[in-house]
Amino acid sequence: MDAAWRKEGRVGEVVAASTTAFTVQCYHVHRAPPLGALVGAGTPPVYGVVASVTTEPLEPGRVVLARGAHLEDEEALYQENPHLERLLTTRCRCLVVGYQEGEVLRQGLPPLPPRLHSFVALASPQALRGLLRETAFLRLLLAPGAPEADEALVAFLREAGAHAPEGREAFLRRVGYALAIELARDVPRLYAILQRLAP
Amino acid sequence: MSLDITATLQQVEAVADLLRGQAAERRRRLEALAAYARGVSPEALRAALGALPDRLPFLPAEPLEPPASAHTPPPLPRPWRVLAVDGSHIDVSRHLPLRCYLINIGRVRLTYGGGEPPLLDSTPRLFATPEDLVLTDPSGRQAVSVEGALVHLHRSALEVDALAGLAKGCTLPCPTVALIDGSLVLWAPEGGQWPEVVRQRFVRSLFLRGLEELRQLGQRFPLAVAGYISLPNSAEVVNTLRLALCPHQGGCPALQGKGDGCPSTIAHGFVDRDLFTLLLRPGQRSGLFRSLASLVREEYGEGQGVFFFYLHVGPEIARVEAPAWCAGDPRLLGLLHAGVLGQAECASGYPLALQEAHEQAVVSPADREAFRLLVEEALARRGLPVYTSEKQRSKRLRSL
Repeated sequence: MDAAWRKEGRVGEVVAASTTAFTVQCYHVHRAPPLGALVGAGTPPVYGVVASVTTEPLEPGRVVLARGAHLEDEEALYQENPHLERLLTTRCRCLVVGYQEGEVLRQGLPPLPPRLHSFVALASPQALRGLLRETAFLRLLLAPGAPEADEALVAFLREAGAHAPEGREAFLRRVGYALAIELARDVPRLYAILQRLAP
Repeated sequence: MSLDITATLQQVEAVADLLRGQAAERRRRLEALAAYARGVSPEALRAALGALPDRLPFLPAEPLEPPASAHTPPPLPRPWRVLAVDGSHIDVSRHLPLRCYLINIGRVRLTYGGGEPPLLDSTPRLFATPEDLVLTDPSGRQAVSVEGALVHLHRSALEVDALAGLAKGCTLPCPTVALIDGSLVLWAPEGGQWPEVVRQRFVRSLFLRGLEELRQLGQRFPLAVAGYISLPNSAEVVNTLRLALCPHQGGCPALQGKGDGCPSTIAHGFVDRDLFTLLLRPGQRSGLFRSLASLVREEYGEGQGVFFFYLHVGPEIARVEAPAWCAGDPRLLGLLHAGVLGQAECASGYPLALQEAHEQAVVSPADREAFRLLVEEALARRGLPVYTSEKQRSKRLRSL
């Protein structure tokens, strides 16, 4: 995991944190880990799945104006307005799914949230495989209940399938059973998620 | 509610009615003044300035071109750069337990083309030592407390100093426009004069030294320096026309604001931006004028003398002031014209880099409160007395 904390692997820093979720301010505008990505924050890491990504003015209350009516392409717009890079920010909100305790990656909520300004990096394939050994993390990702949170869960599972120890198909079958138990009382939601997971 | 809005509204309506009644007559006078400006030569205006009475209640300016000149901007080079500095301050307050003031300087560097990364930052500086708070001349006879207008003066001087620092850090040798918000003339309040000790500490040692540093940096790359004034209230050009309109060789009571019947009264009540609204089209700048402010004549020297032009930026007429070494170089003047206009177009009428420098510098009410708490906490931690006025305490509590 240490390798991911090297300067070049970092995507940003934690700017708000609780035991259930943390917000990352990305170092570069428009360069956030994608929806559903597994990231680690701090040392030892607290792991979260990217549930939403937002780009907005750094200072609340400032209005973003359309500036490119006379320009050929979007690249020219950013070249003609070099200040935008410093005045906009991209943040992502991550739902906590596990944490490192000694040699063990535990699923569930950590005893404490990551510290503010903890460095954040994409989790290594090794950490991802560690998380996928069990499916208890699903409950945490299902907890928000909103359709956009389910989209983050689907994105995570689709990407994670490629790294699952037992192979993609067997992994999705295992996850499907677990989801069926978690959402036994909400069949429409279960159906919507499974439909999105189908190859 | 503490303000009786209904009673206030009636008074506002009465004033608005009065203005509407005067609007047609004002428009007629302004058009007559603009027609005169279109016809008068700079020589005639300079001749009128030569016959000045000793004490005028207003300040004229020396025209270098016909007063109705209008210039279109040259194309902007590529790459080019804009530097801007703006300041904000927390003044000395007897309600604070520490006698001090704080100046926050915001800096911006934006480069268009060339790949130089943008820079936006701010630096706070606290002034709290006896030497900071009381200026004393070497003889010890003159002592001046730094607060109010003097803090503002110190801030203006630090802005130019910071602009020089910003220009010094530029590595890409491309044409550069360097702006501060406000006048290059360090006006003393109510037409007064700064004491000698103040001139030495803030005007010569800081402000003029900064301008000189900028002039020297201009030998490394084309560097146009200016003060930008939005919605300027100055009337030096109008005043010069008044002098030329008056046939009484400067001895006319109308020029002193008394009596009428003199042709110069058509200019009464106008400022320069009123006149240039009629003389300039969007994007155009006026001809150059030289400031005759006494501080400039006494302190700035030939090289740093202040010249100005008016610029139609679209939504308003702005005033741009430049030092002599910049105003006297047609290449730098063109760069200044095109650069300021381009910046104003980027931000709906006010130069974008200055807008962002202001955003960097601004000290919000929340920041002021945080500063007060910071001071109180720092003193309390050291066992020093922390006090405030009862008036201030009552404002904070607002109890019933």
